[in-house]
Amino acid sequence: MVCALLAATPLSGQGLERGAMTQIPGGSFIPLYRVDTLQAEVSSFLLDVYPVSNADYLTFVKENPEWSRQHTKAVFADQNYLRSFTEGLDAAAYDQSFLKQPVTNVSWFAARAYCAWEEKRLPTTHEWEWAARSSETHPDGSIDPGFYQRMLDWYSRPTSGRPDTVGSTFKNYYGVYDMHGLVWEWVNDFQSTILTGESRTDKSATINLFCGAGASSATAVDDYVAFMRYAFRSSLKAAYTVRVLGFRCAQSQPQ
Amino acid sequence: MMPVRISLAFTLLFLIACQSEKHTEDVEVSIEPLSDYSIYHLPGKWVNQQSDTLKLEALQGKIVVASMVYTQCNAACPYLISEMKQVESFLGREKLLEEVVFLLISFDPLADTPQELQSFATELGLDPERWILVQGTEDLVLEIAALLNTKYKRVGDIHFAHSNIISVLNREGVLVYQREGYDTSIEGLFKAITKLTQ
Repeated sequence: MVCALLAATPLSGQGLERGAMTQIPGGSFIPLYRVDTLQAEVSSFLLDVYPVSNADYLTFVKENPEWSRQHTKAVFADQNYLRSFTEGLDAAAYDQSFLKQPVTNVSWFAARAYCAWEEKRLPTTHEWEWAARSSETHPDGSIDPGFYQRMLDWYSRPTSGRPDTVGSTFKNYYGVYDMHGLVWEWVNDFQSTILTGESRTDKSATINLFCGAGASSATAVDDYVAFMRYAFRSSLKAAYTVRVLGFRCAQSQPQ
Repeated sequence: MMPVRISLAFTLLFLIACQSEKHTEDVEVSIEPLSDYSIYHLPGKWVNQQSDTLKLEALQGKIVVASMVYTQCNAACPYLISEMKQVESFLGREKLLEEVVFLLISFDPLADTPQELQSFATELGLDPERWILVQGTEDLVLEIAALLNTKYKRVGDIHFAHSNIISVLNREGVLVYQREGYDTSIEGLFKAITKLTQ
């Protein structure tokens, strides 16, 4: 596995490289929601090792003031956008632990703008899910005993207050931290998750809401944590900002 | 006239200085502010069925009835468009046609070239006086779909699974009404539009 640190800018005193990435090798897998062909192909790509932090995002807003709370239009981010940035844009005004926490209360539009600023993009759902499959020691976490139970534990923990700092949960097989147990994450094509009703098994409910979506169905009804992620994404709107929803960026690799 | 110009300039400087963060350049100080909820804040250029470039803000002043479709769609899209034509007839009877524009945005900019959009419009008898069909970059399509709460996903080479929605935008481009699915009546659309003309 090739580890590439690209576009990494040291954040003085933070001990975290902004934008450090690692390569996720390509492959194919059966995503929880598939349409048409069973397998989804993912080409190898680069993924941020950590979710974007408050420190990272503060820098972004300082350099792109149109994305500050005051200037961002409501149509692109709701009223809770950056609600925790109460001390202005100077990093020195915030405590260290805040700066290292993953940025949350950012909308899809804001997350996309951040990634574009770093000359990256948001990962696709398939890319994210593919990178999230691995446990600490296995590329396919489903064959790692206890991994699913650990995930269930993380996902069922009540969230209280602010999330822990980036890098505080496990590092997976690909060298990526915090895919589970820290924050939910935006993906570029969250609007492609078309779920209706209890659609793990129910294909007939309110079919007329969607054209052509009758073909979409869950491939496994026992991967509850994956179902929760898809259901959560499906419930989002692009301008929503949520206390437990952050993001990380990805970058295509020449094939 | 000089004193007026100076005082205007000072007013502008004062407004800029009063903003709580320092910024170096180009924060819009609009003369005619568009609602913060207007989708016309989305930057970018579209191309219509006549191959003309179009910015969304050009639609200001009209009530817009919009939907996202693709020309190869043979399931719900033709039906949705026929409903939009029913809205058009209704507005004709009410003598409100001048106020409204019908906007169709393609999911598939690669296949739905301006020429394709033109043939499609001709086939369906869409009056060029008020029907605008556009295509944009894939990124723009993603963003406008987000603003119009429209889910979509490519399924195979030609088709898309997508929400069936007819949206109404007010004269400022704010989304004020959406009718989702097609098993409910379109009375709601008539009402929403009529309300905007009062």
